[in-house]
Amino acid sequence: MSVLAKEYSNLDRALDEVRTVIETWSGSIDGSAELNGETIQYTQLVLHEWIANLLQHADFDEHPPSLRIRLAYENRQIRCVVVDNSSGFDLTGRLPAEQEAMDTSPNEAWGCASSTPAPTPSPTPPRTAGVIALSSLFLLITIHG
Amino acid sequence: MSFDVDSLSSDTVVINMGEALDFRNADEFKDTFQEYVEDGVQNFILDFSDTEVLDSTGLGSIFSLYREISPDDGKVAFADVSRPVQVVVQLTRTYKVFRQFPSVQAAQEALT
Repeated sequence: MSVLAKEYSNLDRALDEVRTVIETWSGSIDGSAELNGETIQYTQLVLHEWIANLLQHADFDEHPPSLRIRLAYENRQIRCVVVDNSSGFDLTGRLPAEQEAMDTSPNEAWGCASSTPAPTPSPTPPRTAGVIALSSLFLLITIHG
Repeated sequence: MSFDVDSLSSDTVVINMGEALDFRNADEFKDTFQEYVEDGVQNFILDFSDTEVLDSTGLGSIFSLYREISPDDGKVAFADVSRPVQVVVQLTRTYKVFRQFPSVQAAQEALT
């Protein structure tokens, strides 16, 4: 398995670097010939969106931002884990009503609305080992053809 | 970063999208096209030959342009689309809304 692990406290720097870092990493891993360019570009796109959303919308309270990115390549798959220390938000409170979402053309950003209700958020943010409200994203990106 | 604009005719311009269109310069892109929309330009050819980054906010700003000009039969065309932008176009199925051309010249011939 080939792994890339990066940690940032400066989100602007993270955004500026992420594409190049992934590009460099992808060229150095064993079996990189099996890894097609599209998969790398999807990975770059996902991470760009994630960091951009943090820069635009995240609330870090009084804490300095912390962003950890881990990419692992194994068995023709890239596994991507992103963990940040932003405080998160009440998803159901932010989603527009279903009809409103259907009536609105894309303008500001990509998003998704589901016809099934989102799970009810817990009343208090999760706390783990003294770290308040860790929000995280776990993605599995599979190489195509 | 500013956007370079070439006027091909009174109703058609080419906007060079540069290296990135994302949340950091989407407002600047909107300001750029707004000026031309107000001057009566109807056809916008977006040259993506050098573009490495197109994010959701950037794509949203292109839809803003589309929504402004399409009621008056205006067109937005993508030209010389780079690989990273092509990935976004395929992923979002934006090709259903914006015609793509291999070059600015091909777009110009089709639109004018």
